[in-house]
Amino acid sequence: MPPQPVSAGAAVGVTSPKEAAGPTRTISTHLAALTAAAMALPGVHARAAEPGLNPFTVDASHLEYFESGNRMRVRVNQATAIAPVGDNVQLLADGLQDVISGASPIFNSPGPGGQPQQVLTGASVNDRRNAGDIGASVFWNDNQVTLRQGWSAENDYRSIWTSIEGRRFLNQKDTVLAAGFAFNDDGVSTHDAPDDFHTRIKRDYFLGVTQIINERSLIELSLRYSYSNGYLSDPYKLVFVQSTGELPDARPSQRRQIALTGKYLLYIPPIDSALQVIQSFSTDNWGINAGALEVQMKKELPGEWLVNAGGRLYSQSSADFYQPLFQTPPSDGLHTSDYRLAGFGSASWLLGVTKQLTPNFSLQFSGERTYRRYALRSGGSGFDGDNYIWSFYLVTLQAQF
Amino acid sequence: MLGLYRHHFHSMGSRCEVRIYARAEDEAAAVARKAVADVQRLDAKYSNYRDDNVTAAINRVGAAGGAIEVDDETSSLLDYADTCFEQSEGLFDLTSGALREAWRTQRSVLPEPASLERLLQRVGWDKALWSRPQLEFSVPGMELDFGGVVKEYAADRAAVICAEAGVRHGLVDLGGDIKIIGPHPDGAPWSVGIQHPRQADAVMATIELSHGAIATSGDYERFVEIGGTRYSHIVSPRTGMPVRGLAGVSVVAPECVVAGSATTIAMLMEERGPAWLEEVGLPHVWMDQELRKGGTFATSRT
Repeated sequence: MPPQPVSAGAAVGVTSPKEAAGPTRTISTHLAALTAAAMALPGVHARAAEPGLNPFTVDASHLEYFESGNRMRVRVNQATAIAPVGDNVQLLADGLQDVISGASPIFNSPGPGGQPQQVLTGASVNDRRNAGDIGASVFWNDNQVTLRQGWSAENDYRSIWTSIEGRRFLNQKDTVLAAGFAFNDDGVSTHDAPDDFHTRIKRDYFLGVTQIINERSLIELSLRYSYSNGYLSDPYKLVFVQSTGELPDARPSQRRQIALTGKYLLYIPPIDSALQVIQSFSTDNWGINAGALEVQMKKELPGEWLVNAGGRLYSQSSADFYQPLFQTPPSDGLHTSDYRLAGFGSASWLLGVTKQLTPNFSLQFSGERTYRRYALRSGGSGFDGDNYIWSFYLVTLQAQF
Repeated sequence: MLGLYRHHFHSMGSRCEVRIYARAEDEAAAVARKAVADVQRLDAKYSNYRDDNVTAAINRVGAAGGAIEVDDETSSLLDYADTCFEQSEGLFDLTSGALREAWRTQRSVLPEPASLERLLQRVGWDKALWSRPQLEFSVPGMELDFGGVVKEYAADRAAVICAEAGVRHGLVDLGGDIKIIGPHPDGAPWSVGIQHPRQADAVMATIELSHGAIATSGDYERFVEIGGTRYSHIVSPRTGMPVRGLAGVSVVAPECVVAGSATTIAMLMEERGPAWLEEVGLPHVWMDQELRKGGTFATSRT
């Protein structure tokens, strides 16, 4: 980078490491007086400005997730480490363990008056999942490439994935172009036949652009396309067909999804706050169209506190082959009553607080509560029996050295 | 792994920039915002162009004569300015702002000596009685201008805010008053090119800095041209006339506020400026009206 004029008086650039210095001499009385007076100015001297290496970051978090009506409860422990190796390489590692317990819906059966009612598993589910990934990022000039390899294992599910993501920084990093690809190879079985794995392959393609508009705002757009094939049904789910009784969940063997997400971040100096708006739309060949809008305000408070609060609205239409109950088996053999493929919407509130404990440690608490409602669907079928509330609380401790 | 993020903004009548190395944009932006917010806070608090701030409150009292009690931060700045006044034989004077009226850029004729004389009666830090936290004006019509200290003070503070947020590599540049947070991540220093006072696209000297600060003052930044002669925006509190002597001077010091007051004092000392800088002993470079260059890092690179 050649020296470039940046101001009336001076220009700053990069050249070879060579320090300029004046001749060594005893400190003059002028300098001693000025320096002493400058020392008395508030905030002119750093309390912790030791020169150091690039930061090494470790964070550990614990998440508690609950669903209303004694349904699922999940506890997750996760740790992430980022370690620089020289100036151009960064290694990443991530490990996670979660324990899922409680009941989950299996199917709907006709209740009094023929209305569907949910049938849950007994409180028998108790799954443990271990997952982890390792990766490396390489930086050169204005480019960054990150490669990650991940694994996930539990009794009835195992997954291996690989992802590659490239970023290119343009216009002095005011513009960032990103592109990525991920490949997931999953095996799905059941508790009843734990060794009988069905294969499921998913490929994700991603394109994104981030543009800093000015010092107060930025916009980010991303487009994601996913293609899955193989066994995409849920082996634990059933459907109730009036004419024949219960049948196993049966979904198409291919799914194509496309999602567009826009994010806008605006810093508002008079209130020292940032506004973040995220809007996304997605559609797939199963007939599910979804939209989400999230609005959050983030505000820094004295004493190194950061508070964020906001809300999210989500709505989706049901899959073409979804019905809460079926009268007769569909002729194409595809049917599901999985509440996740129903038409529904949800409203959430989000709240978080981060405290910078020391320059090296920060602690974050966040919570989210979501109300799922059939009435908020954007089309298709579903039913009120699937309404429920879920919440989670997350605590994260981050250390940076 | 660390990327260089540049955050431009405008404050204190200057183009400003925070350059920091960080792992992610949002991380860099969050730190830069904090630093910028403090610069804007100081601009709002001490700007001469507002009627709702500390400067305006002091100057309302100054206009009528009388006393005012000021806050801690303002007291510290006044203590600092008081030291500068003592160390500069009374040339560095916050009350000389009143003289700028006579040298506004729009004017086309020299001010009348009589009008300068009238203004000079209202100038002089020694006519203000400073006893922390109370400032008393013995003569009505006096006014203070914090412009000579606040920008450099703001640069020092902004750099400290970044450093305390964990930034190790970067700098804060407030219109050419630069405070280094730390060198590039590979340890290489920042190379600062100092503009030639008479050639806008040329560099009169470069200096490499890993820490500390550099401030620059020159008659080319703001001036008024009357009858073909260029008059600097730096006005002597003794004569009421713009200073002659040095065209530009840059000083390196651990604190930007010290570097800044040293450049201003050197400009006010006129032909005695180089000797005064020599005595102070900080690394510096200067160029006079005849384009003679001197100082401890006077190597040219154009």
